[in-house]
Amino acid sequence: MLLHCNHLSPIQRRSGFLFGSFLIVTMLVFATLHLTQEHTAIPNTFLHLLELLPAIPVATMIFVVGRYLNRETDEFVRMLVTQSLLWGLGVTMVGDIVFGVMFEDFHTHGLSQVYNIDVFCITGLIALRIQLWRNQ
Amino acid sequence: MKNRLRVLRAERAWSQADLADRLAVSRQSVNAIETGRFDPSLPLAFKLARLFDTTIEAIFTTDSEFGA
Repeated sequence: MLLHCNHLSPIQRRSGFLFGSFLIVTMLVFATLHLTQEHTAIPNTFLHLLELLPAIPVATMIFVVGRYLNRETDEFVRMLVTQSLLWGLGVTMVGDIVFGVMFEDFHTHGLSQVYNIDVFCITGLIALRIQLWRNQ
Repeated sequence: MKNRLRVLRAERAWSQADLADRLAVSRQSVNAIETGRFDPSLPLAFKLARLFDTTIEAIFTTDSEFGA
């Protein structure tokens, strides 16, 4: 596992579990929404309301990270996590812009923005893992 | 910022993990402070000073002071 570590504090363990759980919920909501759109005839108004659903677990994940950063007592670890989040955010934004320009200018199919949260999480976790490895 | 953390720790025969436990931080934090990659906050600096029964100035010095 990417973040396997035996020395996690209770707040790190709990926040990691919550973050992972809400990431899975986000994916399930996306999949359910996709299937609903494809296989059922729902009125447009209701469909637009349903499209707001994936925002709930994503917002909860951001809340979980914010709460973790607020409660983390180790300032060095807090700095590493913040840097990793910035890496995740930066890579996601750069990727989004590059694929957006490709889609606009060259009419090619870029990565769907649905995957932004996955790119953010994976890049952030890889950055955190590298930071922890560098500071062993 | 330079510091005498490694020396002070060695005088007491503490490992980085021992010091980390006493400070309630991770071992990585102690390592980063010792190697000068991370400057601790004022509360953590006070905690270190209290732990080694000395002053903050006796542990941490700015680079210019160190060279003087």
